Amino acid sequence: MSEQNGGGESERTYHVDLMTRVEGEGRFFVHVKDGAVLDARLEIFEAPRFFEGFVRGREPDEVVDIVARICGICPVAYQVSASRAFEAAFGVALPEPVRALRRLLYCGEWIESHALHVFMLHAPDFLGYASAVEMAADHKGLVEQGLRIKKAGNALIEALGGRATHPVSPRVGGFWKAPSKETLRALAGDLARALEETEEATRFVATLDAPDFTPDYVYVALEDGARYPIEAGDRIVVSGREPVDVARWDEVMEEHHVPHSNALQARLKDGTPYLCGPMARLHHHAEKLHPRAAELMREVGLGRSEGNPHRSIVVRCVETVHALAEALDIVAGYAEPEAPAARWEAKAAVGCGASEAPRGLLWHRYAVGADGWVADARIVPPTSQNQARIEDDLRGMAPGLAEMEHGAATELCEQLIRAYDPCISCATHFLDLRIERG
Amino acid sequence: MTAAARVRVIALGSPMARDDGAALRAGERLLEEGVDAEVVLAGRPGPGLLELLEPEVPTVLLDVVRGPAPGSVVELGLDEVVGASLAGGALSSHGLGVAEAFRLAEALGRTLPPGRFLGLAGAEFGPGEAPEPAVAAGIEELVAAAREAIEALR
Repeated sequence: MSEQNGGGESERTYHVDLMTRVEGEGRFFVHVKDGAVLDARLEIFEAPRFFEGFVRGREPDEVVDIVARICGICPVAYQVSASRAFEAAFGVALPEPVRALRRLLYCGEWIESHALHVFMLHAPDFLGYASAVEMAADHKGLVEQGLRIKKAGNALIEALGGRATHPVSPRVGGFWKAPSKETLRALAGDLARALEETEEATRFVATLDAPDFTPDYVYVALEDGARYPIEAGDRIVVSGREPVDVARWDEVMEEHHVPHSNALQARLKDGTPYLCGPMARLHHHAEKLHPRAAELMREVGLGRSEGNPHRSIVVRCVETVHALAEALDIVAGYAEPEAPAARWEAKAAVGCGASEAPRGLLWHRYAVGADGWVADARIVPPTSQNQARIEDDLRGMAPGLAEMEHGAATELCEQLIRAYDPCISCATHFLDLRIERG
Repeated sequence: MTAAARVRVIALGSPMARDDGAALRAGERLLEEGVDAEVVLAGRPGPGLLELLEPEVPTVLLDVVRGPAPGSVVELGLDEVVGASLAGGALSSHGLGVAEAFRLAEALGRTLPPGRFLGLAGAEFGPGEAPEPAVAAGIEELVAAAREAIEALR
């Protein structure tokens, strides 16, 4: 919903009270007067999440199960960041085959999450539809293609995690059960088809016209040695700053309460907003992409520092190609590990861990008491880190909006926010029913 | 899955959002007590729900709904779900909820399986593990309704 109000020709507000095609409930509000932006807010009004409270008094492996419930789209990211924090606390190192399995699981999540956003949530903006449902009537092949790619990712998660949504096998140190070689090999055909289909889709989305908008980003992403950062990384790289250890996240970044949002906003300590997610990963680590993804990037003319958030659809496609190609490599080289998890014992300690959720850096910190139970927890999701950056983008766009028809300007604001793939929060899932029977 | 008419029960919801976890608890009860059906605790599958809706597999969908009196059970045919849900963004907090998944299936020309939608009405969806007492009490009725639907579809 949008409307124009305010004090005359030179004063305009743009707002949408319930954003569609984003995860969770949020709204935005932009107020422009005489070409100057008076206010720009992304308001997150869903109930605050209390997962940090839920996990207090729980054992580490229970926490891994509980945090999976934070998000229906990226449960693996929460499970892995939590596991890595506990592993850092207890000094646990994953054997190579188990590490590869965790990366494979995470590739599954990138594939299904990116496919959901590219084909169901973001593509309708470029093709002029209100939703994927309406788009499906005219672009059935594109939607079916997206669903097949997503399914290939879900199949990986189910094979490794025990089920596709909220996996039950991941645990601190690895998995409760490792899949057989045959189980994984059986997935190779669908993964290979999904890889080809995603390459085709990348070529298509690269041709789509995007609004011209290139803010000056500070990019933030994990660093995992020579690997493109996905499930691991001990350092965080920040544009124009020295890299920092994951354990020192809160010495460099900080979270603030803002009156208009139930989510905390993160910024660098000097107040600078930053961008995490696919564009930040590509900026810092493009040379680490799988050769098939790197070749495709060249073919479609995508630069490593793509600065237009609307073009993130192309970056997500390239990352999906990377995840599929790497998944195929891991499956081809897979040998069942001697044990599905590294051995560990809980002790009084504090640990921090991070991974690259599909939407960006996901940082966890846990304090464990001598009884082995969690005494304190802190979870910083990517959307809260991007929220201040989104608001700055809205401010940056606002002067140009005055030249546009009001409805189109409002829609452009909504498209910008959607380009970030915000996961505002997935606390509830329910159906509003209106029963009318004679 | 063959067309041998083994019924599939799909339980939806989030166990960490109070009443929203009630249908999942009903699915868990069916698993614990035993039932001649495939029970899938699907959580919040989004468009992944389409993969679970196979035309040849009779399906009972267990979910939590908002609107009717908390704790009451609403039964619909699967083909009635879209018509009974409110239009637009109010129907779900997610980009693709149950009704949107059904609408997408329709737009893609997919055939829905024969089956029933059983919705337990909830009211409190804030963070928390335990449903409200009235909703918790309704889980028994939901389980019984699911067993009846399974029998009828077999």
